[in-house]
Amino acid sequence: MIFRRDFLNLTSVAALTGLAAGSAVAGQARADAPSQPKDGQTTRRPFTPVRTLNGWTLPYVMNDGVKEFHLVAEEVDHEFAPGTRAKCWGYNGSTPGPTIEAVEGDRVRIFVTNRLGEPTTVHWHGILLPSGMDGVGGLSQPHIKPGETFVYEFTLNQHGTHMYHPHVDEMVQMAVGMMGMFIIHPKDGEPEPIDRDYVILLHNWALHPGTYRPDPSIMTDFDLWTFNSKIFPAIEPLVARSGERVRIRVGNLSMWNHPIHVHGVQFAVTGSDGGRWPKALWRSETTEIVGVGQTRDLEFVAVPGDWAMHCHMSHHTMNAMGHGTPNTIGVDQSGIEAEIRKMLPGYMAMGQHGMSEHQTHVDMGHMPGPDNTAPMMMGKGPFGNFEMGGMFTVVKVRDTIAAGDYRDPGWYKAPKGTTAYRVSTNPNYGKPVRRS
Amino acid sequence: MNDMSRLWRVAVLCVGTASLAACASLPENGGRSGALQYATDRGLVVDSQADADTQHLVHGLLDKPISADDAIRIGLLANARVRSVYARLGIAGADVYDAGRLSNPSFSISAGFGNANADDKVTFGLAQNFLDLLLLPSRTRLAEGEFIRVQQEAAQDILNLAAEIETAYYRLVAAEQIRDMRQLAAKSTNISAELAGRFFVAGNMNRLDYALQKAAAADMAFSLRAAETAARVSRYELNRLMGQTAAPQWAVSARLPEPLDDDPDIEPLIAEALDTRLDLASARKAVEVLADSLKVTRQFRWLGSVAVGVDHERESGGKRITGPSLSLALPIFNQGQGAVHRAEAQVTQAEAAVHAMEATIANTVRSSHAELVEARQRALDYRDTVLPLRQEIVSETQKRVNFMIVGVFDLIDVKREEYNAYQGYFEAIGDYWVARATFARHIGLKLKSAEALSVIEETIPNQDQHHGHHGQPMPTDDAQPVADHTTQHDTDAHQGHGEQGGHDGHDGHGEHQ
Repeated sequence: MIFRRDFLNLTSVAALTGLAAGSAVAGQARADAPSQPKDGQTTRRPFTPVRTLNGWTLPYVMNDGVKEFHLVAEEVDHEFAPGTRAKCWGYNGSTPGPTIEAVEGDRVRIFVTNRLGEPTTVHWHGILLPSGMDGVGGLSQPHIKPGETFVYEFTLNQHGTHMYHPHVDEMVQMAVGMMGMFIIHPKDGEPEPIDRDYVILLHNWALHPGTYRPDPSIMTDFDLWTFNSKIFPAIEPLVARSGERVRIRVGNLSMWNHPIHVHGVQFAVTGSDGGRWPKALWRSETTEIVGVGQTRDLEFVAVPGDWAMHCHMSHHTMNAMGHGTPNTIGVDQSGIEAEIRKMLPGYMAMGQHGMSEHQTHVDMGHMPGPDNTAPMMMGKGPFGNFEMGGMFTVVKVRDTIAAGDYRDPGWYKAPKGTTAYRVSTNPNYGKPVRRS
Repeated sequence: MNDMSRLWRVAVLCVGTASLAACASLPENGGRSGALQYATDRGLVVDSQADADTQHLVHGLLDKPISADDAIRIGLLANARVRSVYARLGIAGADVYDAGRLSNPSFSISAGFGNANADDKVTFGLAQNFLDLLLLPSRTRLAEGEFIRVQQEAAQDILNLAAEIETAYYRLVAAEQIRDMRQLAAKSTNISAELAGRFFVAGNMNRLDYALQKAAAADMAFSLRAAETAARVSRYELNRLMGQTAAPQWAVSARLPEPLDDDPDIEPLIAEALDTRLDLASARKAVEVLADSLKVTRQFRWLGSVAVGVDHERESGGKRITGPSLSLALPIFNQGQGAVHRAEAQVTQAEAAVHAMEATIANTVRSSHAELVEARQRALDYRDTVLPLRQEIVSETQKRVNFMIVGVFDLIDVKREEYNAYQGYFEAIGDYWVARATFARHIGLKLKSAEALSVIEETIPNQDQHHGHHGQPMPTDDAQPVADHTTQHDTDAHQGHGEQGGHDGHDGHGEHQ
């Protein structure tokens, strides 16, 4: 509840920061209980609301023409995938925090309540706003101390894919999960109507095997790589109907640049947090590097099939694995494996021919791992094991998916004759040409 | 009555008197039963086999794996020290015998050959030392007291020998267990080095890392050999104490039970020890005997030798003269002061020895108890804390190997640390039983040996065992995903390893008498 006295305080703050006094009238403003999200609720043209994979969009309350949002910075209990949970920090019960969605020209008022044990702020990454609303603690504003609520207010004079994140103890607060997406739709609508508008925020976590809290002291050697704080196989698929125009907005607040690769299509890189680029600046790619702090909009026309979409850094499509461990490829352990098993009956020699067998062994259940740790390679498809993890998901396009239906359609049934098939099990088959 | 018959009557009277005097005979059985009774009263178990059967009995015992009690039995039958102790008893017994006897009378004869004016003469004399008669009761009493003292000393020697055998036995079992753990540890470094060789041959490991692996294996070989030699040395020591000269072919049982949880108050035990210790009793007896001897010395300080006898002279002319004789030492130059002073000093000396021994006993009881308590606590801490943690470490590392988070060499290393922890555990258990036997010896008792207190498996443990069966825990295969080994964070840990010996504390409370 905002009481009259507090509201007058807010008014005076607003006056100090040069905002129009008329915007801060007590009315139907309620700081709690946001209303249900209303798609396309604006006086502007309609837009396709974004879908944040595994996530959600923050509802707002209209208060005399101002969209009021309320973020709460707090510790959250987060599941990366079944069997891997951690105590993270986020907003409003989730990491990443809810996507804030608005339209170019909207005036937004964002309350931020700090329920952490230390101060915080929110920086609106890439958004043009008054200096005092920029959210850099100590520079733009005083820190939001634990228990306090601050309010940010500004008018959106741009469109594009943006992000928000803390700017106090930034390294720690981001490392443990505090970040979210901020999508601003163009005021004149999409020049090319977008049928499916997906949002993915990239991140990395040092959740050491056997622990339940990410370690913010790790700089490069991370354990988990996520789309919207989820690891494969817990990442939702991107669903579309054949022929729909799909946009994937990718933000990156991790510590690495990520080359995001989509199978099956050549997408156009059409914009960033600088807004939509003119067509002449669009780049046709199948892989786009999204640098740290950057966002990229990728657009394509959906083609039927099940299409992998993933970061192309191969370690980023594995869950926690050892680095610098002895290399078992090509090592013959016959004979000595039995000797080792006498000392250590749980031991299995692995990896002589690579790590593919690992998923099979783990799935069979006779090789348990440390507490709370996902195996590095997971996932099963119609033809066998994916042997993937981390930043990996599938774009599922079907002829028969209804507009607005985001449910997983199952596995693609390729038309006859369009699936790779076996012709021989004899390694000496045929006459392949080799370099000698 | 003629002179001859008078002479013979006197002689018969003397002999009769002599035979009526208190006459100690040689102690029955050489005094062994008495000595052994002291020892058996304090817990020693002794065979009552006749000497002819000993060889047979000893060989019979040595043919099967021997327990500590078996070793003690064999030692008491075969170790030459026992014979030496019995011989000392024999000497003391002889002293008793001699003390109870009058010295033999002396018979003298001299002949004189006269010239023309004198007759030939033959003189007979018969004399008996009569001081003996006066001193006989005192001397007998003193010798008997001394005999008891020697019996007590002998019993203590036998108890000491039993304690030495018992501790040598425990040391041997511990040394063999330690050797077994060193073997497992050496095996692990060898496997690690061999595995490294496979990596090297595949081109996946460089020379430096391979050399480091081989060096670790080479170092371990030294420590293995040292442990093997130490076990052999312990074996020869027990062989020696069991009185065997031939090379040992016998085997000992493979394991010792876990420490008892009896922990008596130490100060009352010291009072008991001062009553129970035979060497102290012997030293006190020495004081008693010397004090008695001092009394006698004082009583008879004026008395030198006294001889009473009869003389009979015969001359060729038929003259016969017969009469008594008396010989007396006159205390003119020596009234026995020296002897009295000497006796007094001997009493003081003996008393000092008693006090010194009391202080030694009290403090060695305390110190051996402290060592006993430390060894027990160390063994229990290994069993309840260190070993479960080591197993958890191996299990958690295995999980990491399963998920390719760490490599197999790290896993072998932590398994070796588990072996090292087991070694520490076996050392602690060996130390405990040795300390307990030592403590018992200091209290003056023979407590029940380790195996008498619980059931032991005779087999050598192999490294594949999942449970310690009835023995104490053994290195287990704990990387199984099932619950019995991997979820140990608390004292339930020892359940999975076989309870053995730990509940025998109840026996232990009745131990001391």
